[in-house]
Amino acid sequence: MGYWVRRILYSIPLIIGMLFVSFVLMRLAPGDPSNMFLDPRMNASDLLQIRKNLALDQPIPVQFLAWSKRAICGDLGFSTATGQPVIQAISDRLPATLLLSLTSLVLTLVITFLLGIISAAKATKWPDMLITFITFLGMSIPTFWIGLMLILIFSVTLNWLPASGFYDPTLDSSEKIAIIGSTIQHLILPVIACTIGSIAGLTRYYRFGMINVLQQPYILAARARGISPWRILSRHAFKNAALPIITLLGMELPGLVSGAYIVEYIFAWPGLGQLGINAAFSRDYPVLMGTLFMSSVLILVGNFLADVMYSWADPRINRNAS
Amino acid sequence: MPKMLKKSLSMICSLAIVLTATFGIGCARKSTGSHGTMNLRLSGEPNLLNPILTTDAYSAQVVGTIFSGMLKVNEKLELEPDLAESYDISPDGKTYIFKLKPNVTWHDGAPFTADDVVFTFNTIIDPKTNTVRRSNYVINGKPIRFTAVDSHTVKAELPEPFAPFLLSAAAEIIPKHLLDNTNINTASFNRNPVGTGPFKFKEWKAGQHIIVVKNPLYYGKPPQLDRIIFKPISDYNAGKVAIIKGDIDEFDINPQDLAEMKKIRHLALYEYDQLQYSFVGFNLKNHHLQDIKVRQAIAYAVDRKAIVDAVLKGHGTVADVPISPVSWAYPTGNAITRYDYAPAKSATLLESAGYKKNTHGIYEKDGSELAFTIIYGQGGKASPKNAEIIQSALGKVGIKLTIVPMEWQSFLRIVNSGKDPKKFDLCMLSWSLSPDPDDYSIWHSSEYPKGFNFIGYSNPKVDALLTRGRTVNNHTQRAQIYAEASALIGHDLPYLFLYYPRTISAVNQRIHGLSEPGPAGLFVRIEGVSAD
Repeated sequence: MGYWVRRILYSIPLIIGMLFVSFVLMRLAPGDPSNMFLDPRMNASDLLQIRKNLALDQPIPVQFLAWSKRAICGDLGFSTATGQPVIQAISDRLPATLLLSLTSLVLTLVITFLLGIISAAKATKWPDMLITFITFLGMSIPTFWIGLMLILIFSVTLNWLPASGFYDPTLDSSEKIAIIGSTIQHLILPVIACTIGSIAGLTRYYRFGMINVLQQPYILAARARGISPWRILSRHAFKNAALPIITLLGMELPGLVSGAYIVEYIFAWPGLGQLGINAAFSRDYPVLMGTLFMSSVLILVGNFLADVMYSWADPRINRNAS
Repeated sequence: MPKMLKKSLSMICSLAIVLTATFGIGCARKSTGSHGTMNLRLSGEPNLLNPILTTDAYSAQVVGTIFSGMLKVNEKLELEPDLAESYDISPDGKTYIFKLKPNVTWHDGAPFTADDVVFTFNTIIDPKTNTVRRSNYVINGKPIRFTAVDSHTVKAELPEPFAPFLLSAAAEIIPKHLLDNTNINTASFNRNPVGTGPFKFKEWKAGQHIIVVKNPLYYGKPPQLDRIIFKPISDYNAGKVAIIKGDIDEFDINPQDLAEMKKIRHLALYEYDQLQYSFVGFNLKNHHLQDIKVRQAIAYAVDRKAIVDAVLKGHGTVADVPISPVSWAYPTGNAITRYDYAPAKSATLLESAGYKKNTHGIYEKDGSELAFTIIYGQGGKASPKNAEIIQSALGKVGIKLTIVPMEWQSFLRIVNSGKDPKKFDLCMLSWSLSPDPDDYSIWHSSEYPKGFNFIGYSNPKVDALLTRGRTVNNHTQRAQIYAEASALIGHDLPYLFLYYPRTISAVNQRIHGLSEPGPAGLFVRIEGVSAD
């Protein structure tokens, strides 16, 4: 137990360090939020006044201290572009992002495991080759192109699915079930676009892990004992081959909330990716710090969860830790 | 195992079929459009919906339906009374009296009075307000004084005559009773606005849509539409699909897509001029570019008509002066100096300026080559293709040009550095113009190095005209003053003026009551617009 508590405590200075570095790096980028206020009819002195109002005239360490003080109390400040509380801006967009990323993650995992298992079980035979071919194809096609093709086929030509948005805005907020239906309908194409991109890499990892495991002496021993191939795969090989995937998933956790910008952009999906990118372009420091803060925490949570899952998949790790 | 796999695969397939079957019908229904609803695309998510704080075009698009000002700009870019019934300007041009319409109410039912107008302008003038508009109401460091003479009369006292003020007086008005004693920069009002315009704010789902509904209390002609749904769709292709499918009712298309759009039966196409021009700015502090002959040589070398044809597919006009042909202050034809494509003249001009071609085929003088870099901000309105065409054209006459695309903020840091000299040779940019021709901040010599005269242009005659244009209130006289100033600037060639682009709008045929197509757009009288 002490090991896990220590791990959590170690994370605190790590988060502060990450945030400070991000804070400084952000300010090294040319421009600042006051550039958004540039207007040919504006006097230079007014621009200086706005910089002062936004406290951009203060030294960077002072700005960081002020930000940290507020952040500790749970106040991430106000967006310089919209005047909206940062927490509000993030929480407005979090549900859409989570819906897209979690659905896509679950689909990715299911498909990855299925394809990985088939690929490994039929290694070097035609199903494996076919899957390898398809996954490489998925890897090489850029997401934006997949997105546009999906829109072209399913939205424009077949008119089965909507091309953009989150749900039909003409629905009244009281029509809950219709809204859920409309959201699912709007979700399908972005999820497919997100999933195709991520299946490819993970399947390759899982196939490799599985082939490795299937060559282990204990699998041979299990086979020799006459255990069915399905049981060998599901009971003996599955968990062990999943180890590299767990590590990757741990690293993917922050990605779940950072949003899939390209997919969001193409499908006008109201997620955090758009918020982050807009904030980066308009140098909206408070929003950027807010999203970075969330990502930093999630990187650590992700790694922590990966460790926990690791010890589930491979109990030896837990024993070594304690 | 294969059995298992088959089962799960067939389950996934059938799930997909069920989903599309269940919801596919609903989707087809939507594309026919809802009666009384107009769907408009926003090319980005608005920042906020407070007219005194907005800085982006998307916010302004929505704000225009919710709020109104004392005056408004009509299709002809002229000002006409809106919340004001009438206005008077004193003979010395320093006092403006606005008589407001009686019986106007805010969307929440509160009466609209002169106090709201005074509150709006005083809030803009307040240095604590993060607004780009403050400079419009501060003349030579002295703010304009606004007072409520009575509940429906507003007096504006200017420290000195300032003609562009009338356009600033058209700014949309915000309600005092909801915003007094709040921090305007972060007020929740900014995302939940209350105005006096033809439409009332209903909801804003971040990144999804903004809905405004008919205001039954509107003081003007009753709005025809029940509601307008604004949808932020950033991607151009997604927007194109949306207009084709009928998910949005208006979309500005790229000229390349014109032929395709013409084939779509439910779309009507409108083409009109914009108050905008694209240009290449010469850094006049560069020792080569200081010489007008070098600038003229560059101008003659570039076939701008070819740029219009290649980049805009002909949907634009070559520009020669810094004012749009649709402006009331555009100079008459023969006053304009035109540097039409004549590459032979380039060589003559450069040689008469003492330049000689070196062994690399590049002109040079005193050992210094005519080799420049052109910078531009990515994502700006000027097309990167312009720079490539210019590069090739200059290469042919013996001037070397290197293209440096930059991230937008890095680009701004150079042109807006506030230092002399600025670190660029040529820069490519577009100006969106205001309906008032006062471009003092762009051309007056006092606006360098701090200000928007970032190329360091200085012509005492132009300075004098720009100063005079601000103090004369007579419309005809002002038109002459700005026409003369524009013609002088066009002759001096501080910019290589490229073109005035035209907008091509595709509008769903079910939308009626559009205003005369023009730089003010198609929805100048949004209350008159209806949908089948």
